[in-house]
Amino acid sequence: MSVPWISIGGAVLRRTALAALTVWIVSLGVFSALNILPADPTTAALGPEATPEMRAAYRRLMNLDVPPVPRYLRWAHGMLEGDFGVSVVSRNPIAPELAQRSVFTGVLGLASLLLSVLLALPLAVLSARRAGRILDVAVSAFAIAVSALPEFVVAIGVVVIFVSNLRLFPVSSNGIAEGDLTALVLPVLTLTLGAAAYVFRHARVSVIETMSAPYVRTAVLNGFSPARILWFHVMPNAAVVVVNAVALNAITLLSGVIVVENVFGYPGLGQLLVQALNANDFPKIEAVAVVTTTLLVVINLLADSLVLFLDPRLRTQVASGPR
Amino acid sequence: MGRAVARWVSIVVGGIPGRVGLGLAVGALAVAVVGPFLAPYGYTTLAGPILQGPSPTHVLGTDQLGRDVLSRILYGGRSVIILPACAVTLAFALGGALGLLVGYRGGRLDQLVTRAADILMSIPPLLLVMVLVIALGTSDVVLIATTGIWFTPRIVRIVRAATASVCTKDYVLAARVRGESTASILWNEVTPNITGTLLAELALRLNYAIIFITTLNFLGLGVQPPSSDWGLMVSEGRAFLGHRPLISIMPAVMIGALAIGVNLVSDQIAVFLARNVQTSSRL
Repeated sequence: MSVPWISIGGAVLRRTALAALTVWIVSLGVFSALNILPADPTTAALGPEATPEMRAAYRRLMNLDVPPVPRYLRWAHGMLEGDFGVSVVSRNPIAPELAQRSVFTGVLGLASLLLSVLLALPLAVLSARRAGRILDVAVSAFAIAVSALPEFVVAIGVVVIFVSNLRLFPVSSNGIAEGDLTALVLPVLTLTLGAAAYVFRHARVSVIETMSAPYVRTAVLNGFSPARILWFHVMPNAAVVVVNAVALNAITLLSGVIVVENVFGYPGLGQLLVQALNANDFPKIEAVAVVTTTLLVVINLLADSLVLFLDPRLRTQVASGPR
Repeated sequence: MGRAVARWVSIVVGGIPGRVGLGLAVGALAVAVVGPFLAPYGYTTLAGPILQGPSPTHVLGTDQLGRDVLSRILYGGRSVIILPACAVTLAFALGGALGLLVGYRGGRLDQLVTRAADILMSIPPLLLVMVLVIALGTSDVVLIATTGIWFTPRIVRIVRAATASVCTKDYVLAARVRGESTASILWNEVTPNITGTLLAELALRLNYAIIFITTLNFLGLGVQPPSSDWGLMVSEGRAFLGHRPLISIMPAVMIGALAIGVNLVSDQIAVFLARNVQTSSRL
């Protein structure tokens, strides 16, 4: 049977279009929410004592007096060219700060993602092969508990154990800016726990389900070794689930990153977003929102495409008409 | 109605995780509901010296303003339970009605609603809701509405899928032949047969709503001081974790009990549903 590569291309193209549409909707939504609704950025920049004349002058200076539609067009055009505008509070350009913080957040997110997969996959396979035994029950219970908890509760637990009692790591991760890598430990640990719990639960169920599938039973009856069955029959299927779980995880990880960065004072995008929100710094909020959305959508897109390549069944589904 | 409730309760307590979960959730709920009547002090009352350790007069000590930590915990559960409950109710009212309708009717409207739900679902929630909270200001109504609207497309999809699979059954056809109205078919034939799916989803959404709303409160984007709220309390007590850890830890434990409890209940229902599907397909 020939593989319908063209329909894969079509599916990927369709998803790319949907991704671009999402980014556009978010940019429009964020922009209109901030510009049509009554929050006032001049209060943050000039303080509550500012006279109406001062406010008006500041609005003119920062181009806030331009009507919304041309302002959106100008802003969106700038975004496309990599110009993220100027903070209305500090009046510094946003792009350099955004770039630096993206690197910090990227390091945090990628390290957690990688570690969580490295931690969760072997545990999931072990648990699945001995389902119902003590290791499986213990790890599963822990994973359920962690995945049900808000990240800040996990973070508080991590701080209580490692800082208050063991006195191991700094509670503030500000040092990352000076290259202090121990600053990474607690935020990464907090995020890894949550992400690993998620990957573990999905991978475990998938391995258990695959192991009871008829074709695996056939392989067992053929007398293949357990290792061969695991690696050549079970894992290719589980891989699809893992890629999906990791992609979904990226979305959960984003909300986790926002929380964790704020708990530990880690100078990344999440901290920048909350700072900008509290200061009503509109251009900054808009920039962070659009950048993070783009990141997420791209991750999702990559994962979707990867799954299409990994799972031949989806390819034929794509080929055989509308979903 | 009473019989149905009793049946689902017996299903939930049928397994150890469900029993533990129901216990935790009901315990936290009891603290939130009865707590304010048992609190020895008001939640803003300056009851003693600041940052005291546990003592007979202040069982869990006092916080940075000298307020009784136990009393604040007893008061602080209301928002943690009422806000998520309202948000999930809103989402199920909107998403459930729409999902039932398009799942039953199908056609153009179905395609349109599904597409719209797809697009809405690919927008990162925390980000958008945070922006909305800032733009509209923080109030209970904003928290409930934004969380509810975030959940709605997911509930539309799930209810739609469940409805569509039930609608092919003979009893639905029979009701249609009898000439019953759409509303009557949806309410009397479809709804009772997707209750399990709805319940599992309801508990899961409640868990997410608790996580989400306590997180907003923790970040200072939700309930504002001097209100007493478990999420807010964890945040306020953070500075004193080394010295007086109970100020942060106790409300974190309460949130944990509630969140884990609700999640376990959801899991137990999902396990029951999965087992039922397996046995019915085997028959």
